[in-house]
Amino acid sequence: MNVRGGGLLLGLAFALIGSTSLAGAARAETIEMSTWQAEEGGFGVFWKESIAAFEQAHPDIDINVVQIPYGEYINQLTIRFASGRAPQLIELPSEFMGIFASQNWFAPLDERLAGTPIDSEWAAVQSEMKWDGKTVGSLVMGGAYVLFYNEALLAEKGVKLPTSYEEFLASIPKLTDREKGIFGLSSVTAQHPTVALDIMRTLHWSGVKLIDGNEYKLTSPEAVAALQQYRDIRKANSALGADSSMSRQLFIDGKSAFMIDGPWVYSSVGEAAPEVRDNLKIMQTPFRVAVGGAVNSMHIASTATPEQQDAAWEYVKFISTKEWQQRWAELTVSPPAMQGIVTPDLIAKQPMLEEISKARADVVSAWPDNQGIRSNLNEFRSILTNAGLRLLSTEEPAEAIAQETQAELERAFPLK
Amino acid sequence: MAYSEATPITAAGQARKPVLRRAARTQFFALVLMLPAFIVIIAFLAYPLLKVVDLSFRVGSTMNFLAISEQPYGLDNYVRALTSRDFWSSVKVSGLYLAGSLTVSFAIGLWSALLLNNRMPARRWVRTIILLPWAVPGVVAAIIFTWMFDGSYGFINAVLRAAHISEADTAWLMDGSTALWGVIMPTAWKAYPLITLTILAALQTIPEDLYEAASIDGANRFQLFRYITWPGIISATLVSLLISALWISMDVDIIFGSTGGGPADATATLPLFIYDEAFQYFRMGVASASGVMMMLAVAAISGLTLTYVDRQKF
Repeated sequence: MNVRGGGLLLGLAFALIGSTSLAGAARAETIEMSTWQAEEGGFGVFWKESIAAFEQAHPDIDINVVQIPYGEYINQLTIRFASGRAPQLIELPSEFMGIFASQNWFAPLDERLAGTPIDSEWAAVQSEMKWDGKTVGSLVMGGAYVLFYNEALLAEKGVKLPTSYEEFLASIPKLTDREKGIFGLSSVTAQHPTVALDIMRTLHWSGVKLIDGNEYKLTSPEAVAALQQYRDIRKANSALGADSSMSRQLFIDGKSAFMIDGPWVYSSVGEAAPEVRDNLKIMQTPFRVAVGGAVNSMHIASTATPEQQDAAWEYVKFISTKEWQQRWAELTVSPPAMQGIVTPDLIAKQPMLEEISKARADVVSAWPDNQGIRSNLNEFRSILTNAGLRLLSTEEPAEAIAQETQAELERAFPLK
Repeated sequence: MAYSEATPITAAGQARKPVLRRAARTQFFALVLMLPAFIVIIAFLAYPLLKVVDLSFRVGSTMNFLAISEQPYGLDNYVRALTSRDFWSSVKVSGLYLAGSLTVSFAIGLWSALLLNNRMPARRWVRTIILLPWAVPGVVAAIIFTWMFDGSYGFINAVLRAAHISEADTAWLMDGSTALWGVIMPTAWKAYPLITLTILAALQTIPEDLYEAASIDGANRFQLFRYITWPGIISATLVSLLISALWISMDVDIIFGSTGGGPADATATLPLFIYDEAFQYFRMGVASASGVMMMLAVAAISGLTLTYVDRQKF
């Protein structure tokens, strides 16, 4: 190669580097988004697809996904916020919103929401995104817990689908067959926060209020009876010592007849053996109230710069379109936040979507509507979890457990 | 100028620098070489320790770590911890857990050390197998034993059923009276190899002729152990028990991975209480105060043990 050719090559190389730098300079904003779902079935696919499409539509914004395992999610996020290294965009299990909102870690979104589909077409539980009168999040997924059932096990024992909570409780013992290793109910019965959720659901479905006015009512005869029923049903009809993974696996393996869980768990049914899979169905809980509410939500960190907050908001707006809400429903088999978009085409692809997307106007949140409790939900759940575990692992009278638990609640979360 | 024997004279008639200055230079050089280690110790040990002690006296609740230094000093965190029912429950559980784990691991460790001290076929293989639990991570041990103790599908219940001892689906880890043993077993299983190795090393330093002489004098097996073996291994035993106790008292991965501190705090040790206070309820001050008190207690017990060990003579 002669000098002229070499010079030409060198010039070309510099031009290439320069153009790359220019392209880099055009990417004005990089934001971090935290989630626990980056590798989780249909959810992971949705986040990957939507972020790739968003970055293509917005070449000046990069989104780096930070995957944090669910078991450590809240702790890790709290540490990151507390040490000033929070991600700019946060997907969050909505029940924990209070922990972060009470520290003013989430940016208010009221002005941004005006005129968007989130403001007009979102599920009613979007209202749970308010804290101190400001909207601090956008609902990603909401709805009610559903009743999973194994059609074959019910048919084998001649048990019909329940039409009330009482019928449901009565049918469980008929389905338990310990000789065959079959449990009437898949339930979390180990030291796990879902035990607290189970206790709250039991109270709701038994028609009992935990808090009435300015008083805890856990020691009322109705509440004590509900706790005793919780104990009797699970001790006799559930595998003891099972955490949420084990209880779901039992159902997927065809070893339990009923399970109450979020509709998003249905996407795991695909892992069931072929001879079991077709028997696993879901239905809306036929109980006096639908318990659920906001499940997952998106939030923007108040510690982010204004430019980062704008960039984060652009992504939230991007996935709030009808196209991406339908894609969410299709990929995750979970209720989208936008109402009325589950079409016959979607149902043809995912038949269970029809049951899942039925909105019930009377959906109530499992957790009390009390900011003190919501801002320290971990401790509240810990108190109830311990009560549940005492019911399951000891023979102490339910009344005594209820009294001690109420005393702990009154000390930790005084209502007056 | 006065010259001493230690002061050599050069050809030019001048005295070399005295030896004392060379010694000082050598010492200084040694200090400089140790400086990186000092920096590491201060950065990773002393400084975090000081911060934890400082945090334990900061009163008030905040989750903003950057603003903690603005909080006033006080004793509220210590008062809260010492008046907490959960704190004392976790201290009691810690004591039982430690005592149970040390007893079982010492019994297995002593037995296996005495076994390995004998000449037998495939001794090296037996030694390797006996030491294997040491290599297993705590979480893996927790998972293995959780499966073994499972009420519905566990190995223990299957064995009891096959032996016609019990037909019940006993949920060992779900019963408050058996759950603690359910975490003591995997802990002892992981802890005994260290005790085995330490005692075995001590056994091999005991002269054989002591046993021969005692046998000739008519000593039985128990007397041989009581008057020769035990005095020979007691120091090593105490050190290995101390190290094991330090590890067990701080260990959370086995309990975390199996019972999570349940059922209903039946296996919630003090480290778990501290973890919950810090990362579940975000009460960093109370967690730090509990940690400081635990550290002082462990330091006191260690100091007493080591003092006793120093006084042992064989």
